Amino acid sequence: MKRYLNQLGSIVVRVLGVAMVSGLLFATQAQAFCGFYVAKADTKLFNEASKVVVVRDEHKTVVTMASDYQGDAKEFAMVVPVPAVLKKGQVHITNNALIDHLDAYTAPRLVEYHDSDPCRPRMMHKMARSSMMMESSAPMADSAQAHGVKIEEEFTVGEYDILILSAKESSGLQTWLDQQGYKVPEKARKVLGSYLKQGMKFFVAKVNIKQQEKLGLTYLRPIQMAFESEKFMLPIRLGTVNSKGSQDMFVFALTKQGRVETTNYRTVKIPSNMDLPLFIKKDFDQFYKDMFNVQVKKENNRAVFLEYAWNMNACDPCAADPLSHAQLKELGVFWLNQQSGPVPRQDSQPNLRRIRSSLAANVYVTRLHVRYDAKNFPEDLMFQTTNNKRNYQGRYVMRHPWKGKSSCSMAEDYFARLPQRFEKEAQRLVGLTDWSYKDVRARMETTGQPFKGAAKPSKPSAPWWKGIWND
Amino acid sequence: MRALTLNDPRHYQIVFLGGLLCVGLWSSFLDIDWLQSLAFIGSALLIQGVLDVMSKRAWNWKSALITSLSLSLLLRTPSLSMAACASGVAIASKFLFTFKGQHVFNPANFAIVICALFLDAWISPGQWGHNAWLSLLFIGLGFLVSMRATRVDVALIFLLSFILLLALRSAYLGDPFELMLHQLNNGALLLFAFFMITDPRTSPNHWLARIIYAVALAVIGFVLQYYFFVSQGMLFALVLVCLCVPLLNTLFVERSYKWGI
Repeated sequence: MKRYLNQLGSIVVRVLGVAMVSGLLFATQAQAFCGFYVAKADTKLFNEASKVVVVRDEHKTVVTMASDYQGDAKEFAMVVPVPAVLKKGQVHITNNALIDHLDAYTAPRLVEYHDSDPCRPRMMHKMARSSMMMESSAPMADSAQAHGVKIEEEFTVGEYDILILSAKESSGLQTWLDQQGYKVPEKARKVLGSYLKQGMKFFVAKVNIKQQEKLGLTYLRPIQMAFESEKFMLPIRLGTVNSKGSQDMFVFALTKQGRVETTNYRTVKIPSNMDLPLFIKKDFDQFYKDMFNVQVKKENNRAVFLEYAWNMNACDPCAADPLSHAQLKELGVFWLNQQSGPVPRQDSQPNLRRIRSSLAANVYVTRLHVRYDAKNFPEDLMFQTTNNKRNYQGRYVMRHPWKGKSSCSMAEDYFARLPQRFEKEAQRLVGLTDWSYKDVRARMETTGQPFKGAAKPSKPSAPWWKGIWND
Repeated sequence: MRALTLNDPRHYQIVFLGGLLCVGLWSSFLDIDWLQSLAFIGSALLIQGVLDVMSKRAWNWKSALITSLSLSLLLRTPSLSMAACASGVAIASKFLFTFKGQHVFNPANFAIVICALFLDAWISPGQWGHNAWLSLLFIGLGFLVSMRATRVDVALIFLLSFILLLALRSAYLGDPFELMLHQLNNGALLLFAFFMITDPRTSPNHWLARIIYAVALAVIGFVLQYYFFVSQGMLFALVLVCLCVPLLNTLFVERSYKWGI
């Protein structure tokens, strides 16, 4: 009690001091974004799964944006609202492998266990990772001025020509973009206007074909930008204007503090840590896609899903090695500059064991997966960093029944209970994916999970009272 | 006795908040840890008991229960000890900050703000989603009716002012109506409007003062949220506005007293 009162006393003094002097001291949020892909001709863009890595501490933010754009590079352009004018040094191009590694490290995973001899309980496990989710996974200036558009910065980074624009009004901006060959949908004008009135600038990137050829690239690399902003958000509104249906986005947030969540949409944990029928090993990708669809519907298409939340210095089990110091720095984890330490020690069999290193100890990764469209996600995604450091991962378990020969009373019980266990697994899978119950059962029967006369035929179980008294 | 029991709005509040917590725990709709809720509730009741004994009063368990139920629903802490600490801050604020025998801050609100600002706790405003609001609205209204409308004005004026501000912002930015609807269709906002700012112990007594109080809350909360990007600006606004309630009470009680003559 006394402790509480003492603590309270000191807190009260602090809060009153601060709150009275400046009521507006609340440091919270920053501002980031994600893509809006515009075709320079009437090319239909496939804009269905984008990946965004947000590194953030206090107001400092580094955002990496990767798309799965498959079309002609000449047709590619990207317009992203940004909170401030960015200079050349604030923009960087990185490689796709980095994002793919982060994706693999945080991907939902399937774990395999083998039941031990029921007469001698012990366990072994091995793990398979989902490969799904991200696999697919001058005159100008004059004209600009005439439309009230100001080219704040203009530079080339890697294979991209980049413009940072500010504008007086959205119609001028839209006309200018149209004249420059960017096909901006008519509906986007209002959204552009809203961002302009909120003091945002526009980051416009298109591929410089000559540079791309010089670099010998045939694909698009992720663009990174570093800036400071108190808003912590991703602008998705332009993207919804451009798209007919829903789009998937994966947000990988790297913070010092802990888990990141959305403040204006529900952040829901993806169902996890459950035993499922053995056959999903072959169909794990399909299972995850179907389960995700069902979960999205269950939340009325309005939730953001948490798929992974863990400190970057460990994983258990590891779907891929944690990112190295160099990889994290490349992603923009700027606070690592102040650190030094030994090279992370990694196990010779990283997929089986927990990995620990002292180096990345203060990088916490959150993987969020959102399927959004204009109807259900009318507002940009707003985020906050919390102090929640509890681990979470999408993890699914296959538990192989014991196949050996055993004869003891425990084994009899074990075998007698197996059909019941399989039944639960079947029902769970059907509930998660909406797959046909009949098909699930049939597939289980053919993959060593029979519902009748399990691995070993068992006698009808004895009444519960048998064996209480040894009469 | 029976009539008294039914007239006490706190009973309805306990039933509603308790029900909401149970549903949240049971359905996992809310990401709530039952141990954390126990820590909030247990420590609040205990601390209230100890402080009541020290000040030679009867154990005010109802107030402590309402406060800790609100904390359980709104505040998230990384440890159980911090949950207990939050309850301590809430209950102690009632004893430490008083003006003419009335506590100044809404205890749960005060603890949430202190713990979010200075300790490692946080609020998850997104947790309510955008579907639960209808039921919340209806039950909230039911609660208000049961309160015999003593503070309905505060909730309604606050909500109307907030809607007006949002509508003005939306018109200025040229945002679609759905966006505004999304911002309003928010369980956290309704819970705040119906269950936190309507606290008869911490809202002003005079009707005119209550209008000022409700409008000030909406304006400060709106500015914090949309211009300073504080995701739960309302909660911070309430602490600031509560600081002015003693002044409002003094100002308006005197005037109304004089007018009464």
